[in-house]
Amino acid sequence: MMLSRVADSFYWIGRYTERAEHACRVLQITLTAGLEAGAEEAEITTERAMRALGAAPMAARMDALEEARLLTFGGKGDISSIHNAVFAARENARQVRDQITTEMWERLNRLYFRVRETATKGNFGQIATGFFEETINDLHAFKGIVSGTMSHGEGFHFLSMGRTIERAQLIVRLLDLHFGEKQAAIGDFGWVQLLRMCCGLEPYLRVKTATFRRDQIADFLVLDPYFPRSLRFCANTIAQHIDAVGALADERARETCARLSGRLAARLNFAVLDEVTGKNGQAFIAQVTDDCIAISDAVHAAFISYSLADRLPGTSTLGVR
Amino acid sequence: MARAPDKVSDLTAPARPGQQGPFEGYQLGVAYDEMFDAKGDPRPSWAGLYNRLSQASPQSLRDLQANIDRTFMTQGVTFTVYGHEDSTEKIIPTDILPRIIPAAEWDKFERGFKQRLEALNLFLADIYGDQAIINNGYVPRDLILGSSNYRREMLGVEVPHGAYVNICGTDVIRREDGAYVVLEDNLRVPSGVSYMLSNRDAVKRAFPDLYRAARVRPVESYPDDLLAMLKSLASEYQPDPTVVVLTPGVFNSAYFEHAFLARLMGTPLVEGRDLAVHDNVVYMRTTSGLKRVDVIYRRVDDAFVDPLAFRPDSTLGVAGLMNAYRAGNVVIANAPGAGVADDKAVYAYTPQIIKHYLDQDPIIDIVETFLCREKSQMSHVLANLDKLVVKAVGESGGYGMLIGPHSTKAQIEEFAAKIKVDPDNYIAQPTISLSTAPTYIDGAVEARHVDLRPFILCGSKMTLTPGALTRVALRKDSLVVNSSQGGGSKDTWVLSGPSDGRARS
Repeated sequence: MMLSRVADSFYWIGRYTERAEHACRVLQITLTAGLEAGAEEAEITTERAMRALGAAPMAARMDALEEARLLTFGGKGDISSIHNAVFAARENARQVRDQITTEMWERLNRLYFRVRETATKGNFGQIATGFFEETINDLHAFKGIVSGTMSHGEGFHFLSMGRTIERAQLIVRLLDLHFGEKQAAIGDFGWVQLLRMCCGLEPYLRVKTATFRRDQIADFLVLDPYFPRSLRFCANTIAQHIDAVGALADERARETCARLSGRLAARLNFAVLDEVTGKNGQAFIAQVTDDCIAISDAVHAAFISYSLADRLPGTSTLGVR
Repeated sequence: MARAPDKVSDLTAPARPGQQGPFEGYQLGVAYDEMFDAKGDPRPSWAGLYNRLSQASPQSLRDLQANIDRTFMTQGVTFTVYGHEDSTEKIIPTDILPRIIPAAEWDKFERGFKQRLEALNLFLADIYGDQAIINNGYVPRDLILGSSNYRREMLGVEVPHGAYVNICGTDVIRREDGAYVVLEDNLRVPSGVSYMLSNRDAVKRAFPDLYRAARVRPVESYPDDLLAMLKSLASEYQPDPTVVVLTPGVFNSAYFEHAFLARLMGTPLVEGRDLAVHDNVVYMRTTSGLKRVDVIYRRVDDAFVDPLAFRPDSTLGVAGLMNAYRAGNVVIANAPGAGVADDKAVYAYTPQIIKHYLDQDPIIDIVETFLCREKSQMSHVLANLDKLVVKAVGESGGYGMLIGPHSTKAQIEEFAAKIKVDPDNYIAQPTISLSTAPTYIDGAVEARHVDLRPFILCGSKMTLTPGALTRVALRKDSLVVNSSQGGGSKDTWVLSGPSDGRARS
């Protein structure tokens, strides 16, 4: 049993920390891309990465470094920067300060102060790489602290669910930009960059060796059963967390959540590679995002924003203990 | 025959305030000093800290202080300053040097507070019941019934154990003669207890040896005591009641404390929007549906707890709460309407209130208080504004007050005009030079003015936690200790009496 508002905050702590981590990784890889490849290839990679983080198409864009700075620290009213994601995660943690462990709070709070302090410094070009690396490490540590200090009860499942739903959607976004029909041919460098942005280069090499082919990459990032950022792995993780919290909701609401998450997991568990790489591949991948949104809505309706009238004592049709 | 002190002992003479050495910047004034007596000798209970400070290098103190500041910031032990746009969260500066209270002083304290709170609870039961004290004319009728903190909705409501005030944080200061006097009762939503606990945690670690040697009484059980007290309020009909802490939300200046207490008690921290009232029963919205709530430790001012009963524009409370309360289905602590007894004008009557209900003399005095509502007293106040402290009856937190001796002529005239327009709203008290205590300021130990806020819990029984929040005015010579106006805080060490000591060692 936990307050609905608290569950909601846990969910968003998961989402925002994952979002911040992802953005850090993508930007870090992008900024170092120029060091490794020819100018043209690096530029195409940069273009994709920036688009994946929500920047406008190339023609309307400014200098890559300035753009990276904006995506990191944000301008006025910009809500999708790393700074704002960390701030929002911390605000949610502050909302539930009584429910999270001191270790969790301190890590997140420290991270927030560091981001805020770095934002005031001028020389973004020189500090960026170090900043992204430290922030990613902090967020990894945060996940470890969550797992190691917090009870693996409801709050934990809401947080992990939020993180995984966010992760699936972010990966879909990257895949969409790399597998879309109108995409120019992607060379080895482009695929390696994609794997790195998904934090999956080393695990990929382990199973697929150093051959970078479109279908092999799709197979790995969409259908691999063990890699924690493959869509299939995410779908199964989401289903597990829904299962864990489901016991608490009323039957009808629980059923919707379970059906949606089960269907998503099944689709990925039993997909054949052709569906992913073939003509309708893009739609197949995009469907994952739609499912994630539907799951998110169903969870909200079942646990957080349910109508009071349904749950009052005496309105026993749905049975409240 | 007594021998005159020889040269050698002069050389090793102990450090004195104001003389070259560690206490060079420490000035003794007219105020009572906690550490040094009038001759500049350290008082016995402070000897340990005194010796430590005599030997400590400035760098070691600086390190300890920096360490504390950092800890508080990462832990998020912060409060919010209203009217600051840039960065709303600040830490209350915590001074590394504890304030020490000997056992004997505390014993008297304890009797005095319990006496006072007992009388105030009887007073509240009376004015929300038969109103005998008003009908007898001991306290003016309009003072009570006209108070903005009087809640007519509480008339005839029976309160568990007769305890209207369940959590009390009384402000105490020390006169020039060393006597403790009550400055103000905080009977609505007193805050600061989280600082008592956090400060203890930090200072204990800064001076572990000193802490052990001094045999300081522990304060750590406060959250347990608080929970037990809150549960005792519903004990008559619920063996295991559900207790919640009601907060206005993260934007409240004391949010940290609300979350802190909820966490240490293991109770849900709810906001008004988490609650709903149905058939005069209060529920909270949880992931597994609606769950009944039995006791609400509210940290929301009572004017905001129920838009149906009080302020209709409030979004911080829950509609229908007062009806549920009156129906006896939920307990609210502190009881709504308790604030009428900490009104600064009612304060002037507290000695009579104690005498009236308990037939005892007050153990702890109050500060001499002039009521501007009385014609003769008002003219005295107006004639002596430059010597008095004038306070608006309905204000707190150090806002809306005039400190005569520290004010300009223009400020005094402005206040005089305000008093004439609305005399009922003002009281005046002589300026008391709050006692001073050693405080770490920029690498040195200096004397700064302090007050004291101990915390009492009152349910089926009364408990005074042996510790307190000591607030300190960090600006030199300032008498304003409020955190919103440049105040800091100190850990407060209440020492064990000789008997406790034997039992422990």
